[in-house]
Amino acid sequence: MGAELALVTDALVRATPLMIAGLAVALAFRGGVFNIGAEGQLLVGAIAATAVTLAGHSILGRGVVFVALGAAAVAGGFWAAIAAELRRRFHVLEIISTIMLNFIAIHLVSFLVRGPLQEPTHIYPQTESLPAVARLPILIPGSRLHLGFAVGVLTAVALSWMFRRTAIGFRVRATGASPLAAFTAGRIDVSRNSFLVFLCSGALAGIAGGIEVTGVTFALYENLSPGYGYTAIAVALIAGLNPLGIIASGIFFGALETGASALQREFAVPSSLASVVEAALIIAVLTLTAARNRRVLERAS
Amino acid sequence: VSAFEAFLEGAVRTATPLAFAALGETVVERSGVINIGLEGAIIAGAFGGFVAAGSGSIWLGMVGSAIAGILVAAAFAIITIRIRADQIITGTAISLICLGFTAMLYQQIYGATGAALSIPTMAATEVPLLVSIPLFGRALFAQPAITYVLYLIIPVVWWWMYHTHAGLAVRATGEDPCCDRGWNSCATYSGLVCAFRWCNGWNRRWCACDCAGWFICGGDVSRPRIHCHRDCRSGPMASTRCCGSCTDLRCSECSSIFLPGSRLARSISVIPCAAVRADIVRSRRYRRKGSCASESRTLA
Repeated sequence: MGAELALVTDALVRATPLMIAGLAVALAFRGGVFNIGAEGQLLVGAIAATAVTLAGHSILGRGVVFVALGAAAVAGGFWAAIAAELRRRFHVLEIISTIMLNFIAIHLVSFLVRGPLQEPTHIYPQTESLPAVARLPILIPGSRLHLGFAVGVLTAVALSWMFRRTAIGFRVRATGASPLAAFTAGRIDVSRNSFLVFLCSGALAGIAGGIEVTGVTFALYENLSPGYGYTAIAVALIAGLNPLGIIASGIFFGALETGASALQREFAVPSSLASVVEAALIIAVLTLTAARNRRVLERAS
Repeated sequence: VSAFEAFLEGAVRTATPLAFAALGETVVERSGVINIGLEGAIIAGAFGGFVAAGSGSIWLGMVGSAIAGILVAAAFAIITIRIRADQIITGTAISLICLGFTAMLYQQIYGATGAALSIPTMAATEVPLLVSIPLFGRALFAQPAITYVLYLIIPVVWWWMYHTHAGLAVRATGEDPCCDRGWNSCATYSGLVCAFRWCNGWNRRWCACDCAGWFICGGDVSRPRIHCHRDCRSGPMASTRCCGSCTDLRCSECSSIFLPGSRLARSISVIPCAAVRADIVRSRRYRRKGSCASESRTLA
């Protein structure tokens, strides 16, 4: 029983950053912003959470977790704001700029864990471990499942409610569905809306990074994220950009990845099989969506 | 050899694969496709090259990587152009699948040993005389042979893009006039066809080392021809020269571009015909007048 519980909770732990980053991607895509930079925003969020925690845990005590997650959100939002501002002012394609910002974030982590944030003995390229007060509470005793998972689920529910029931959600959807229609028929400030959506998407991805640091790794190091930001795109798409669906697809991908590492341990099946399966799934979903869209278009004409 | 010279030499050597990939991406981007899956094509090309060069021949490795790149690009093209799935997302999926697949194959073929395997590599070939130019001589002319191939292929791509009708057609399809978005995917298709056609010729000799492949061999759908109204209506070469002299579609000589093979094309229901081409040109002018431009500004 214990081993099975550990497997299930490990899958949920792995699903947490995928889910939250997936929500970030879904929010952006729904709002017509191609934010491919969840990876970078996640890493910057992780940096901010680590830095804030290490600097402030002795003063703030237990409350430092919330401050750290807030800082992660701000940092992620800031990272997205760079691309958002470039897009708004100079029409820079956000796809390119966010991918480039990913690389900057990855190397920023490399620099920080070897420089200013390196642990005191200066041997390992990672930061000092976060103190126990600064770690997220565990949900099920004896497992690694932390509060971040609940945060992810609640965020998904909140986003779903926002999309369906609020004017803001409608504006975001309208902007994404057809900017021209939103502008002419709905008098929606498209440029401002996409800017804000971009920022919120970045903030969510940043929180994912902060949760990963305070809930799982307890330190910042290189390769903190095994491509969470990219997998998150798949997570969001498989769910059809539906926030509630992202809970399911996030858990599915989390299980797939933990399962793949277990397979490698037990049966020497390469764990990279997981990414092949993921990519094949994305392509299958894309193909189905495209075929459906074409059918709708044909019927309309 | 001074340290600075060695640095320049290394810079050019490192730039070679990047430049190949960028060259491929340039052509696809000009034809209106964003290939984010370039990373996947590169890693697949590297793997294909490694497997093929295991036989001991470097040039066989080059061919192997080109084939691998073509396979990846063909998958990308079929998904985005034929099925019309989103280019960006397909691109990330292609990268992901290539990363996973190459890692998996590597483990299957070579086992999961820690030691890196090695294959023969290309030694630097020095160009006589030119190599003795001070400072830049060694950087530019003491490189592996593939770098010299790059030197050759860059002007060829430039010439093709700006001085042939196929190149102009690719650029035409790549323009995304704000007013006729509906035609976009169709235009993209014919642009890629041109790119494929172009590469058919080059590809056989060699095309991509570990660079982007972005073409399917075959796919001979139609031959775009460009007509100019002023005084050069006699044959494709004349019109090529005429249109090739203008850098983009804004010039008034190129007032209509059309595809005579469009009947065949339409029979497979992909390519629009003359009207679309004229529309693209017209809408460019329209945009220049400002009405469309202001609209797109508010949109973005």
